[in-house]
Amino acid sequence: MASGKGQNKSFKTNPELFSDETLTPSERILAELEQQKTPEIIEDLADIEKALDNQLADLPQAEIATAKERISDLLDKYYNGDPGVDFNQRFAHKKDYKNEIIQTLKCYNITYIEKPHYPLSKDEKHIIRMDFFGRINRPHFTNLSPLYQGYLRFKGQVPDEEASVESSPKKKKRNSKFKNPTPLNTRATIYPLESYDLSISPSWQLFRLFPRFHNLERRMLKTIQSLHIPPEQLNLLSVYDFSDILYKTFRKSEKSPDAHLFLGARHGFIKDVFKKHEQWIRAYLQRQHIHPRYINSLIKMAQSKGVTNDINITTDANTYMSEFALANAEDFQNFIISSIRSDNYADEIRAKIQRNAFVIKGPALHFLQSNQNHFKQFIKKHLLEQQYVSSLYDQFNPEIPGYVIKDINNFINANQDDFITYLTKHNLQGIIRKKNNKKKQWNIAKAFIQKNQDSFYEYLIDQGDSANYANFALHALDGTPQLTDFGKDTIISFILHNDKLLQSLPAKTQQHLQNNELDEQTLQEITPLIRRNFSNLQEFFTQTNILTYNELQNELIDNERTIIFDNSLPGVITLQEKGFILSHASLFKDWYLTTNTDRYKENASSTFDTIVQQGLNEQNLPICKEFIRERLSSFMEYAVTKGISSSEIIHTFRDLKHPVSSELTGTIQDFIIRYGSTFKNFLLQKHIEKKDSLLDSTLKKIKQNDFYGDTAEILHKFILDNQSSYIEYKRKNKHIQQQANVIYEHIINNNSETEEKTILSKYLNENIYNYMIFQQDDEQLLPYSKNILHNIKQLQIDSTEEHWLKAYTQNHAEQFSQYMISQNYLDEDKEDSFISSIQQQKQKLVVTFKDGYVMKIDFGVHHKRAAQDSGEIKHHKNIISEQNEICTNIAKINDFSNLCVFTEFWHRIMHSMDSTEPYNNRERFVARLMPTDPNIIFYGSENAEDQLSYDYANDKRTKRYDQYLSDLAASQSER
Amino acid sequence: MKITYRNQADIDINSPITSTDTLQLQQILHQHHYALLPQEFINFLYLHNGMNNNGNIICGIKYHHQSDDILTINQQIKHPLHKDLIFLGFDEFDYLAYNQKHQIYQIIDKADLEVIEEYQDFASALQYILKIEDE
Repeated sequence: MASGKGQNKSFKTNPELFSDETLTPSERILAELEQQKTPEIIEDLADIEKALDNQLADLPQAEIATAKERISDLLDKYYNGDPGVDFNQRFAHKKDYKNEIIQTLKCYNITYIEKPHYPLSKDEKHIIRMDFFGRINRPHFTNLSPLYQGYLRFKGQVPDEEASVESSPKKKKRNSKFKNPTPLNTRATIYPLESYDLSISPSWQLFRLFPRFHNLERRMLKTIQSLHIPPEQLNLLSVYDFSDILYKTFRKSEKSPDAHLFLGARHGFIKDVFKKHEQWIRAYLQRQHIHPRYINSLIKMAQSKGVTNDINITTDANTYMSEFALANAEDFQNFIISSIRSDNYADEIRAKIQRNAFVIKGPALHFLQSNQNHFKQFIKKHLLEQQYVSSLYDQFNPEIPGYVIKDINNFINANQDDFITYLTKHNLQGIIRKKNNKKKQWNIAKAFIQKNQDSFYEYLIDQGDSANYANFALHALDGTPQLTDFGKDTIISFILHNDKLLQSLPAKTQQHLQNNELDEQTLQEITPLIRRNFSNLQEFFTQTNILTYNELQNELIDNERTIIFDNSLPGVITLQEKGFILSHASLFKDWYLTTNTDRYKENASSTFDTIVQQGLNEQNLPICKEFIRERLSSFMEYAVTKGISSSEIIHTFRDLKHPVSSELTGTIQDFIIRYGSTFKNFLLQKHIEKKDSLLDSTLKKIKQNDFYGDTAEILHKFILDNQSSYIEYKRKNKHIQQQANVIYEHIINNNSETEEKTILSKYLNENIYNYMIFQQDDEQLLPYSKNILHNIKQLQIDSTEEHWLKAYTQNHAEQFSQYMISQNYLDEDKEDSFISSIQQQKQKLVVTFKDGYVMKIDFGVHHKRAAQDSGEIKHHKNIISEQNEICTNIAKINDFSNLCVFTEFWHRIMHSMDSTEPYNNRERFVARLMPTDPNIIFYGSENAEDQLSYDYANDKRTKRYDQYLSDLAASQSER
Repeated sequence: MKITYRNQADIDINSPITSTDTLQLQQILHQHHYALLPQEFINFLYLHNGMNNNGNIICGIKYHHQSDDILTINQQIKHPLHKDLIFLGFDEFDYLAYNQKHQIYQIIDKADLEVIEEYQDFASALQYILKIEDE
């Protein structure tokens, strides 16, 4: 937008207002200029250049050479006054010195220009600053408009300090107007995002001049929406309100003092200059005798972050060790090879494994990959060991399943008389009556069952349970671990190995254990001991196990078989059993539907017999009706012959709840007796249908890992009746195979957990010599050493690289310290202490720089238009003429062609010569030093070779920027 | 040099430094083209490594980036004549500096770097900047 004049009458920026008035330079400035007798004011930069060329041509060469000394003297006089003069009179000639400096600076390609600069409004300055730095400070609450403050109060987002401050009465009165802003009527109204039109806001129009802000619009709207600001009130929001909205949108946390919006003009410019002219800048810095390490750091920071100060020099010793290693690359490589082939390398690896510092990459990775099957087998064995120990744990912690307890209860209820007799005989009635004595009651029930084992067994069989289950239920009550021989050996050797445990046992038991005897009584004595020291048992077993994978698997199966078939089932069916059921789904279905068929047949016969003997009653009538309804026409024929009307039959069977006449009842009974076998089959079929519907829900529960209650009972009974397939399944153990694959993947990809790491270190410890042989092979070793060197070159220093760098420098301590001295990193007198510190180093090597502090190389970004404080008005020679070209577009001020990187020394001098005057109750710039070359972008020193020109007018960034501004102007004029 | 203060209890005084520290700092200042510390000020550092009287500060040899570290404030101020000047302290409006060329202690305005007072000896300059009165 070249000029906003006349385009939006409701809103005018300050520059526009200013340009509406007559442009006249202040009288004070004119008078001052006359008095100083400065050369004719040069208005246009192009003119400046021309004029200066002429002047420079006139200057004798000698004068240019001595100009540097002169400027230093003049600056001294300018700041410190005339030497030897009374203090009060000393600064009398300050203006003359300034004038002289200005004159002298001309041969440094810097000129002093007078231009009318209009003062910018607070809002404009605020936006320009934000655009320049790309950051926004948290706006102060008092700077916000009262309306917006009201919305914040409504949302409860008033800062604490502001909420606690008592407002002045005047302020209170003013705020009370906005205390209940409009949204209160429409309390939680959320206006749709599309309803917000930012173009109605004059404040945002100002923001929109800057493309960087324009791009943020959509993201900002969400914050406006969350504050419930009605769309029609956008035009009332001030610039500071919008900054608060921007701050709220982009802050990192609620208490952040500022928010990062975008890469500001300043940082963007630095980034661009350092990227486009890296070689030139590097050469310039080298001419200034700056150490390469600072140059690299500065250029890296400028290119990546757009900053020129706060140089981060790595003080990490790795940098120096890498430099040293790279300087002796071949020797370093040979060192790696010879160390790996040396005899004590195995110890080093072992120490690394112990520290858990072994990283799976390079040859270690290749080693594991090429021994994949062996390693997986090892993992599987480790998992199996864990499983075995946990099966031992189950042996020592048996849990009687709930369904067995239910059966016991039922049995006692069915044999109440016997039970009472038993109680009276043993004088136990008192205990049974007491409610809180559950444990004793349970023991009595157990004792009763054990006394009546045979009748309990028969009872269960009568109930339709299989013999397997009946046996299991009897064993489950016993509770003593049914250990295999190997299990016994393991337990005995564990206790004998652990002196403390052994000592805690009675002498007789100790004797038994030492004789390798583990009878039932001894087992009972050691049971609590084993329960308490289970974790030790696990550790002991994994360390001392000598069984192979297959042997251990057999032992595990034996042990689990005793648990599941003889002892008790673990409370929860494990995932492995789930796998078994699901992989044998058809077998399971078949078993589930056909088991207990005999019992159902018997039931059907007894129902039939009751009907024959006692006739129909309320219990069996519904099922009979159902039976007849399925074959109604046959029944109709039969009934009509018995003299019953068809209408009555239809009436009765239309609604099954309808009462049945006594005549009809007799007929039904006769019909059922006549088709006895069909009726019995019908009953059996009904049972199976009912079970079929239960089957689906059971399978569903298993799939969802719901193994409790009835499901557990069914599963357990299924396993008991299908022992051989279960053991076959266990032998395959697909579950462990999958688990091993997962662990292997974790280890290979270096994201293993602690337990997985122990498996790895155990494996490597066992196979350390195989690993060494593998690594020492030329095929592995040469690429390995090359790769390490390559990584160091690429600055990708990981623990492995660091290890080799350390080992190498430690081995070559003297050469390293010599290198550090030769590179000026280290003082010569510190050599001895340095060498000893290298040799003693454990974790980090600390290098003290010769120059102690890290020096900053400071560059400032200089505004050629003094943009942050005032705007510039471009004009031709006659400033009062009508041909004034007015630059009212404040956004154009942060354009790249207005910026220049300056060394801080010159930057400071330029600013110290600024002259200002009061205007319109504000201070404004009226004159300042500027680089004469309008295209200068880097000013390193007074020498021409240290100054860099680049015409941003032809740069694609400027073109893009201009295009944006003209598009914006066009769209505004359309509106 | 002996300085006594009436309101000594109010001043934060830091423990002294050793000659190695000053020597090292002088080397750094020389390498980076700053004026060197005057002997009088070095003697003061042997007694107190900086002082702070209600935000009126005499700098010392501290950690880098600390606001009262000599090297840090000299890097921050960026005076065009830094070859001849070494800044030693500051208050709300002014800096205290030593001008090596003219061998004089100067009180320099923070805003426009204009010299507003000059002292021949360190004790008087120190009293000015710390706002303390002689006994």
